[in-house]
Amino acid sequence: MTLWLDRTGAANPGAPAAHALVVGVSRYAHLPPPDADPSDDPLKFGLVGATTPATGAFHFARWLRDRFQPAVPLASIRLLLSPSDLELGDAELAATAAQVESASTANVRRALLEWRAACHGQPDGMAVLYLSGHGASQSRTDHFVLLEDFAADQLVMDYSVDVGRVHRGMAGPSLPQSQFFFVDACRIRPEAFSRYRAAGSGLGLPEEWDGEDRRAAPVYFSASPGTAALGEPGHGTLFSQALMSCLEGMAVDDFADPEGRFRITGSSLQIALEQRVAELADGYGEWQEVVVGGQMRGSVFHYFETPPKLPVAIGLYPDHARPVAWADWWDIDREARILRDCRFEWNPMIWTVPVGMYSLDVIIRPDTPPLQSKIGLPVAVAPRVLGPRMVRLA
Amino acid sequence: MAQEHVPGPQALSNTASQATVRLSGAALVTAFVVLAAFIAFVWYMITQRSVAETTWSRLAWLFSSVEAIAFGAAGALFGSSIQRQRAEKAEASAERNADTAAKGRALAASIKADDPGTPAGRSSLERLGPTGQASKAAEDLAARHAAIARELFP
Repeated sequence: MTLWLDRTGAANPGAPAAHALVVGVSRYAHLPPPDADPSDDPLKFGLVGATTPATGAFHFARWLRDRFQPAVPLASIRLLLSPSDLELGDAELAATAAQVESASTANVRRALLEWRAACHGQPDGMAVLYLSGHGASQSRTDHFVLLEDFAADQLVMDYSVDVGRVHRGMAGPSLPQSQFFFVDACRIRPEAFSRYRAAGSGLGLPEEWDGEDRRAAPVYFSASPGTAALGEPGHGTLFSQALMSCLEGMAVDDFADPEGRFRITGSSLQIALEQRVAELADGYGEWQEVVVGGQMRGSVFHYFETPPKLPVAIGLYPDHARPVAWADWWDIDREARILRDCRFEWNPMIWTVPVGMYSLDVIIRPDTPPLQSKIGLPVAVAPRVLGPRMVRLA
Repeated sequence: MAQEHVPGPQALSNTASQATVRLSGAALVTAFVVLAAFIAFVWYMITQRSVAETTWSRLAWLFSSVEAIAFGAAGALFGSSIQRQRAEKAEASAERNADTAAKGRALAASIKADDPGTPAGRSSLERLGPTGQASKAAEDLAARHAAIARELFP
């Protein structure tokens, strides 16, 4: 298949690299359209076409292409999209969808094998897999993402990806020991699975019987077992929206590495994703909870070129100090002033500054006894700070 | 959600008040005068109980005429009091029922709004997975309830 992003030529032959496979399925050729009633055929699981997964997959692939900074160079992105008519209204997505292959079973099968082959022999590399579409679970541990030609015949599960088989198939000492899987789909068991003992089997990868498996390979599921993943038509799935927020800065780890680089780790991404998806769902009066499966170990997904910017709230006490209070932001060594003479238009006032430690001056001008200026207050700008930093001026 | 006009207790109370007709002014004075005249006529009849049979027959005939007028006046006086009591009872009952009716209409509006057959009844979010027969049964039930609500509160 044609790679959507191919930088393999730029990398040294044999040097470790990152390879990504992104699949987004909204259009289902054998299901009723999104606004129609579901089919009575139990093997179609009461499904209709979707309108959000391809958008989410495209946004993630675009972020990988433009912003992704893994520990090793990004060498390739394989992208397969089956967008809905609604999503084709997005000109950029439509142009991309015209360039890449659709997410049919044959195409995804080939892409999975080629992705694995590209990763083979690169234990220091990184593998990224993103799957989004309708989902179904056979049990609490067997999850499937349905592909564009799902339900083409009665062996409906032949047209799906078996997440577990793919995850197990990526184990082995010759494959990247740093892997990240994102599965954005429902995890509900269709009632047809109670009626049919077998209805086909999902795509997987060759699995070794035994051997060491030391890799870090978390699987970020957009929904907990037995629950639904949700999408907002026109804006992508809630999971993809949350993932973008996290990758833009929300998921930054609290601590920089020894070289002073801010990064997103497997665990910081988990915490931020759980929080953000729950917030988005709650905004609709719904409930959705990210859970992580697979194999979680310490690993870095992404390094920020510059510290990401995050909001920080500073509150004044007493409130009547607001009109005469001015803030100066310094770096922690007080060698450079980041922001000067900032007014407190609100109390608390929110500023967006790069993540890190700062020294804050709150100056009372003109003198207004009994209010007193405060100089050199340490302020941490981090992703998970609860409530505003209060400054007592009297 | 569609808004429905639900009459409040005050509106129903006003309606009940309009049905109560009270005697007042000239009509009230006339009714009292007629009754007083009737009582005087009765007293006169008592004093004439020993007169000749022919005279008594003529007086009795007159009395029956006056009696009809007096009963009309008494009916107008006491009947309006009775009517007022009934109206007040009806008013109190209407107030109680108006509250229940308002709650019923609100419930109906809510059920109609949640009808899965309408765009408003469907969540604005899509679900990326099976709906299942249990979910379908719940939707069918909601649709049936919405149909009943529409029939009772069109």
